[in-house]
Amino acid sequence: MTRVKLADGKLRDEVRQPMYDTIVILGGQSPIGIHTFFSAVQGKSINATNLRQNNMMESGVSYRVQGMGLDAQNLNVQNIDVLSLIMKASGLKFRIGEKVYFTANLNQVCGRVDTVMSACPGSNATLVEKAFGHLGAPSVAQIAFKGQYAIDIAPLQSFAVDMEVSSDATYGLSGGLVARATPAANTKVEFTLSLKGLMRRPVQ
Amino acid sequence: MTKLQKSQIRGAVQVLSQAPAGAVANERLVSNPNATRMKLKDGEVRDEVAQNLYDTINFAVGQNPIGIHSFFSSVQGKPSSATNLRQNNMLESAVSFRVTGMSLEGMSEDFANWRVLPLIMKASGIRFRIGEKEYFQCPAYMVGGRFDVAFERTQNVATADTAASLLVYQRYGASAASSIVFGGKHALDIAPLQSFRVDMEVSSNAIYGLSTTHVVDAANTVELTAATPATNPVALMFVLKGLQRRPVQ
Repeated sequence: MTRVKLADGKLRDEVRQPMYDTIVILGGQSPIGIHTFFSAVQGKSINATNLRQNNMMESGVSYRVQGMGLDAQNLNVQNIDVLSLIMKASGLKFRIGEKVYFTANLNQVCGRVDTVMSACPGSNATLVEKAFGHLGAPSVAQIAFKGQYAIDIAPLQSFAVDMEVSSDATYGLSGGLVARATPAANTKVEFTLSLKGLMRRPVQ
Repeated sequence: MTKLQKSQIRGAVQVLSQAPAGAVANERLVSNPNATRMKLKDGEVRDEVAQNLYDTINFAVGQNPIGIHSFFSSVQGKPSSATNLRQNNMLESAVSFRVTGMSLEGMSEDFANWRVLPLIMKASGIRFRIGEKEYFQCPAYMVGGRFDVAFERTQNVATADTAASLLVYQRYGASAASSIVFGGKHALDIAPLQSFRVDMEVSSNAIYGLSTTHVVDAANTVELTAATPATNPVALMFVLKGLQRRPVQ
């Protein structure tokens, strides 16, 4: 396993490890507004996040960001438009401390949407529809910060990624689009943002 | 070197290049038989082979998927299509493994189970442990290489268009896609007789796990029910990719 020595002589384990967090948009909830990743991690299971404190790494733990990606999936035909409309109307801002280090439209970070759909008559001649959609594609690193352009998060330094779903009349969700981008009652759509890179942690 | 010797060498090269392709390849192998042997610090020699290490767990029909499922922890009695580990949780004496990547594979061609794989993927987290320490965590979709699904409609000829049915094919992972790569010095080493395992935790979290309140269709099927295999079981295989070092026999 890789160990590195810091300038002050302390040793750290260096492991390749993504940092990720998930936000959920519940049924009936308008997606418009700012949704912040890494800001509310308490009580989430390991499939949803692996950050242990809101907005920061622990003491002695740092992270080198070499890329990022956004993933989501839907298999409910009632929510067939939700992923694509939110992707189109959203922007991302990656903040460390006081500064914004990366901004992008969501479609640059999530590797586009794939949708598969089928419809056929059931045995009683009612229409049966099945749908599956996802953001992200296999082995695709959507955004890469290579070499000297990697972005470092120091121990105990705050960071967050804001996803802003716009209500702009031209470029955002407005009019009938809001209802089409809102998950159906009793359903939900989850978005997971992941920072890809190297974690340095104390040697234990 | 004399002119005669040079011409003999040229002649030899020419003969080699005229030989069948297979013969040339064999010649090269014979000329470097130790290409995948390496010497440890203590002087012992090991074979080093590119070799996946894999294990499979099964979700039976009607089995609630929620809980922690450990890969590489129960390998006895499984065929080689399911695992190639011979001891639970560890490699044998003098056998080590350098992990340079990992992936999660799954497949279903049963329409009754069409929501099982995507829901388990969405609700699961992966933890890779070697000895006491955790070296990698991620949601299952990262290591599963996301998900591909295909639907196909078939028509019942006898009843015209009223009894058509859907066929479905789904899988985790795509061909030649390496989901997680530990490149260069960030490869992870498993020493001989050191314990390791991969835990897949399928969450019951009310919001982020397999919920019993949120539904997946207009018929109000809840997530947990939709993620439970019906008709046929569903198997998932976890693969560690890398280099295995073993004694020269």
